[in-house]
This record gives sequence, C-alpha cells and structure tokens, in this order.
Amino acid sequence: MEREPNIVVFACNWCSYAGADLAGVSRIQYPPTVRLIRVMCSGRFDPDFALRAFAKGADGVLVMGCHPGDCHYVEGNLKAEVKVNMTAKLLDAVGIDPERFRLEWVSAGEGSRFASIVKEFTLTLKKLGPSPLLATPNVQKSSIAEREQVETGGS
Amino acid sequence: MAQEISIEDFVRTCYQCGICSGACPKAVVKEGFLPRKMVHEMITGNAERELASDDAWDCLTCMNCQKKCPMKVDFVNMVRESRRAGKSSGGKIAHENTLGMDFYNILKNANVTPRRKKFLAKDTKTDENSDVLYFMGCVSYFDIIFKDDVGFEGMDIADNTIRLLNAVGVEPAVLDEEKCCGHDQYWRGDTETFEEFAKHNAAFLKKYKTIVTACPECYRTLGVEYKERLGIDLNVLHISEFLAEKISKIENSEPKKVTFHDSCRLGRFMDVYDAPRELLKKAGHDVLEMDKTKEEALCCGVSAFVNCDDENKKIRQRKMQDAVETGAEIMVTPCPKCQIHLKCLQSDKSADGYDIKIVDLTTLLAENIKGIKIDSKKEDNKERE
Ligand code: SF4
Ligand code: SF4
Ligand code: FES
Repeated sequence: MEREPNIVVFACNWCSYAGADLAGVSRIQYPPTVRLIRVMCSGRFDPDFALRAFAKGADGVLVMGCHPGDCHYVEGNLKAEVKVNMTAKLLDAVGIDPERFRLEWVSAGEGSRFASIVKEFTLTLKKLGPSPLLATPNVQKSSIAEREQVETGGS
Repeated sequence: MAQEISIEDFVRTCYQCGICSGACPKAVVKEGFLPRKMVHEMITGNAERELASDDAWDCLTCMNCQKKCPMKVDFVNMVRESRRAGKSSGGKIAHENTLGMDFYNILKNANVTPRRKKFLAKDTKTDENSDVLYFMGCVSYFDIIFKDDVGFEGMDIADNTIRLLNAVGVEPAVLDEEKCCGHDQYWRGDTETFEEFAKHNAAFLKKYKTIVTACPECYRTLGVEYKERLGIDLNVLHISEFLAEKISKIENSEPKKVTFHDSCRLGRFMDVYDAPRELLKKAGHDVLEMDKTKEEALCCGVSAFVNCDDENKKIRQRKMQDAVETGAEIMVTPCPKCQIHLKCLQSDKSADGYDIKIVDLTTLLAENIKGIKIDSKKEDNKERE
C-alpha cells in the first residue's frame, strides 16, 4: 500500500477549526492524513511548532487561520504570516523543502475549501516523498559508520 | 567515554586571591555572583552544592577572569563541565523557539543537507576545487531570524567575506554540506551534539589546506576544540589574519573614526587583537580604543544564547556606553553574534542613545574593495616556497 503522508495542522479556534468541523458534519471526503491541533488564533503559531513537528517525523505542516481582516483578535493572522514566512525560509536553509510547509486562510463557512486544501497538500507531499528526516534506519546507520571512519584516533 | 577528569581538576591550583571576582563583568551587575566563590565551593568539597546552583549558567564564559588569574586556573572549562554535569536547570536559551533543540535536531540529522550557496549574492565567486574553504557558520540562519527584528545583515557578512577573498585572488570553496560548528552545543555542555557536528564537518574539511572563517566562534571551535576534543587537526584562520597578510593597503577616500570591539572568542580565546586593527588602519580609518579594550574588553553580554536577561543587558549597555564615549562613528565587530546582541539593544525602544553604527569588519572593509592593493612581494615569496 502506498504510504500516506503525515500532516500536522495548526488551526485557529474561531475560523479554521470550525471550517474543519463543517467539512466533517457536511461529510465532505478528504484524506485521513491530517492531525489537527487547535490554537486559539493562528497568531499563536511559533516557529518551534513547525520545527518540532518536522523533528518528530511530520511530512508536512499546515498553519490555518481566518482570512485577513476576519481574525478574532484583529491582526493575529498577520503576525502569523510574518512568522510563517520566516519559518519557511529557515526550513529551506536547513534543508527541508519549504513546499512542505504553508499557511492557508480558511473561514468557518469554508468546509469544502478545508477539504480541498488537505487533498491538494496530500498530493504535493506524495510527490515530494517522505520527509528527509525519516530516511530508513539503514541509511542512517551506514552514514554514521562512514562518518566514524573519518574520525581520527582522538584522545 | 567516561569522564577522565573531574570538574575540580580545572581549578585545583586556585589560592583564593579573588582577582577573578574583581575582573568579572557579571559580578558587577549580579549580586552574589563571584567566580572566586564558585572556585572555592569546587575545591572545598562542595561541588555538589555548586553544581545545583545556577552559577555556571550565569557565567558568560567571557574569560575576563581567567586572563587575570595568577594561577592560570581554567575557569571557563570548569564552567562548561559544570553545565555538562547538568545538575542545575538554570540555563535558559534565548530565542529557544527558533534556535532551540528542534532546530539543531533537524540540522544534525544525517539525511538533511542545508542550503547555503543559493543565498549568496550573484557577484561572489566560489570554486569547490580551491585549496581554501570559507566556513560560513550559522550566519545564513541568523540572517533569516534576526534581519527583520534587529537589522542583522548576516548574509552581507558571508557575501563580503567572499568578495574580499576574491579581491586578494582567492575563490574559496563554499559547501552546502557544512553544518554548525557545534560551538553553542559545546559551551552549553551538550558534548554529544557537538561531536556529531564535528565528525560530520571533519569529513570534508580535511580536504582543504586552509579554512577561513569570519566568525570567531567557528574559528575557536574548528581550530582548537576539534583538535583538543577529537584530534581533528585543521589549519584555520580568521578572515582578518588571512587578509592582513595579503593586503598592503586599501585606498579609501572617506576614512572614518572607528572603534573595534574585541569579541571574547577572537580576543581572549584566540589572542587575535592586531590583525583586524591593522586592516582598519591600512584602510585609513582612525582606530579609537575603548576604555576597556583588547584583553580587558567588555563582553557583549551573552554567549551561546544562554541566559540573556536584565543583568546581561546592563553589561551590554556598559559596552555600548564605552563605544559611544570613544567618539567613533562606527563600532566594528568581528563576531556576527556580538553584532546581533548589540543591535538588539540598539533596536530596543526603552534604551535610547547609543548613537553609533555597528558594522561587521568584513562589511566595512568591503566598502573600499576597489582600493585593495595586494602585497606583491609576499605573494611571490609564497609561490616560491
Ligand atoms: S584569580 Fe585565580 S587564583 Fe585568584 S581566586 Fe580567582 S581562580 Fe583563584
Ligand atoms: S568567564 Fe566572565 S562572566 Fe564568567 S566568571 Fe569569568 S569573568 Fe565572570
Ligand atoms: S482568530 Fe483566527 S487567525 Fe486569529
């Protein structure tokens, strides 16, 4: 069976989480690849959320908030945007494809939009393959052995 | 590997003169923090009690005390080993949300290769087959994290280092595979992560005859720690040493009044004081010295991002005050991290004043890159050798 990607979603309580809820009660089908984590506002997003998700084995991370102008806390989502842009660049610099990480606006009425984002993101991740951090233990072991070879005697 | 040497062994020769406490910038701002007392606890059998306190984390590892100690007590390594022993949780990492464990866990994973070259400016010339490697360090990450916040121009340092090397006829290798040198992990007591980084880097660094870096922390770590801890022998030079040897003069129509900040890793740890000043003078700049300079220079107030708090901010304020009082227009820093910390204070709305520009050494020198004159005699000698 084809491996399904693991996606961690940080969704704001007031719009996006409700949007996901609507997708559920409306029985809109979407792939079971997402794990939702509710935050009060997308502005709560912190670069470490994404870094930790990747470090713990996520293939992709989504941040979801209210559309600009709709944030329950006025401009939390704009702050999220700044932090997300910075995090994406940081992931790129450290060697994780920034396509694995994105910000989307989903309102409480957009159940179908939520579902289509998840579908589309799942497809993108399938194309990219598993996260580079998840390479098989064999690969890791051999590269460690290689590195150990270069270790000069030492003290 | 078992611990071959106990923490007390670093400080056993102490005869409790107290000179260290008098030299310590932290002791001035934090009541009760006294290096002499820390050593006293260690050598009188109270190591356990000392390790349970936060003292080791409050220390800046700036080496001001050690340079003055008549008994050559290895204070900073005592502090590092104390952190490693990990009995106290007093170490709070500033910017932990971006530079905490997870970031370095990702970076040290054998299957990820960082991207560096794609961030370089188009006009920089690099060549993988060169004898000289430019070790960029973490400036590419810090650029992303601190640029908007405090105006730290990390990639400018990298670009200008390469431009300066190009100007003296060197096209250095820059490798994507390069990972963090491990300095911060080492000084936070995480020797395992440090060793992982060191072994990873050593695998390709060995191919190069000379390694040049524009970061004093990389310089110290690659040059000393890699050798002492792991027996990896590399020929490492700070960019200022490399250039000072090659450049005879830099023509400059607008010389400025500048003052030079001796960062702890370049100055007290590696004893490089003259090369950067020599370069500044060759570019015609008027180098003014701060009240506390060279071996006695004040620390920027935090090292390895450990415990950056109000007390450390006071040290930073004194540093900036020192710099402003020289009357210079520019404070030149050789260390990217010092620049971050000092600019952080400058961009702090509650701390006004400090009317002085903070510029990296490479960035200032690169302003007159067209005026660089190479010492041709030295070049010839080199070739004949
Ligand atoms: S300066 Fe050296 S000998 Fe004197 S108290 Fe400090 S550690 Fe001990
Ligand atoms: S290393 Fe610096 S901060 Fe630490 S005790 Fe010595 S002088 Fe004080
Ligand atoms: S409450 Fe939804 S983004 Fe702020």
